Amino acid sequence: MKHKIKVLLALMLLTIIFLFPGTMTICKNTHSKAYGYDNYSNYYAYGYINWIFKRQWTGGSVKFENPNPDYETPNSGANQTIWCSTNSSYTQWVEAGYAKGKQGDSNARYLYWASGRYDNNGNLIEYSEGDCSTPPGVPGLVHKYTIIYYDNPGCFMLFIDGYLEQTYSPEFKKYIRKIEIGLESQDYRNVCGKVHPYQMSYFSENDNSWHSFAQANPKVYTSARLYHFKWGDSRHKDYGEDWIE
Amino acid sequence: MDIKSKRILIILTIVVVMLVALLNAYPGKTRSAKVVDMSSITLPSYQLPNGYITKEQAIRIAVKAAEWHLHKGEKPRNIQCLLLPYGIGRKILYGIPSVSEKQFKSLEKGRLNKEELNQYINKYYERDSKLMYFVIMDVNRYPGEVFMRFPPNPKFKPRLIDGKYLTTQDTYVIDAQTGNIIEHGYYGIVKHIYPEQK
Repeated sequence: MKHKIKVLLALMLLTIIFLFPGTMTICKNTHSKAYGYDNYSNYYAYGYINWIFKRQWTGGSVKFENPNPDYETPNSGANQTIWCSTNSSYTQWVEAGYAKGKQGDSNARYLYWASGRYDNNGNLIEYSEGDCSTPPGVPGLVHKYTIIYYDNPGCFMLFIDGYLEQTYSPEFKKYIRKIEIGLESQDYRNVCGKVHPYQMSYFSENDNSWHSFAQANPKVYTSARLYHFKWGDSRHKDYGEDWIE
Repeated sequence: MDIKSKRILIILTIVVVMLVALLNAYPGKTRSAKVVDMSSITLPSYQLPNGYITKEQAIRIAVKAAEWHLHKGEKPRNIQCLLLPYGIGRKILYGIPSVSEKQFKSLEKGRLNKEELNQYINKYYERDSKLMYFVIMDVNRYPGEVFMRFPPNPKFKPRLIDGKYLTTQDTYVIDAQTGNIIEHGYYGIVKHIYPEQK
């Protein structure tokens, strides 16, 4: 009889895992990836270092070299990004980075911030983005991007090179569940050679200090290297590949 | 365990499995828009210095930007526009707190010397005091017309009304001095009615 109950419980567990695959992603090892997908009929391609955990983490930081040579974005934009989820969720986030190209000006270069929230039912609550006041500087120049939650005044803040650039809405609540660092292109025809992150780190409230990604537990991060992204052609929009130098 | 208990356990298992399957099949319905009505608030008017763009010009800039990715025939509607200092506008309309001088000093402790810190604080407050137009408008967008950097999940897509479009309330923050859009975005299921301005 006990055996039957065990089998029954195992079946229940398997059913839940099958129906909610997200429940098993806690220890997923994603390393560096690049892939594209047809998102609302736009083309996005991602390269990211993904790191999933359940900890009391309240900040993420990275040093990015401005792309050198710069992105070629004749048709649409591209950006390198630090992306931090908020509110212990995967559906609310704040982000910042370097961007090339914007509406009506494919040569525009700027540092940007953005944030967005969906509810648990997949309904979009809000999305916003804007330019930072720090000028991007020349290709190859390094900027440090830090997103961190401060209890007082009670919101996430974005620092670029140590200067406060933006404060986010208090609706983006404490605790980061995932940090992504990488490259995004909104058109497969863009030329985005590489992204070079340094000193990727997270802030832990447990000991009130910064740690490198490599110290993450579970440890799913590989060291800071040059990540290259090669986009698929127009016939293979959902395909991309990357390699590490 | 007796037969009765076994049956209860089996029935419970079936119920749980069915419930989970149902939840997965219908993960959520589109909510009707939640309205944040601020119309009972009256804000003071701010004098527009010479050479700054007018409210009408700001609205034209915002509408033009909204229409950039909009399908033919669709026009923004319910346009609302306020002229406010950046910091006040963000605080009242978005609930984003300003950073006090005291908070700054604690944030920057040990990182900047006194002179640098003062420059830094002045720069922040200078931006907070700049006059901006806060423009919002309702727009029906097809999925391809919704721009978003780094959505949370490549497979995560917004739920559409009638399976066709998403009604967003677009937001634009426009520098009243230069006419540049310094922030833009949109609300999905939350709609705002802005305060009055005398």
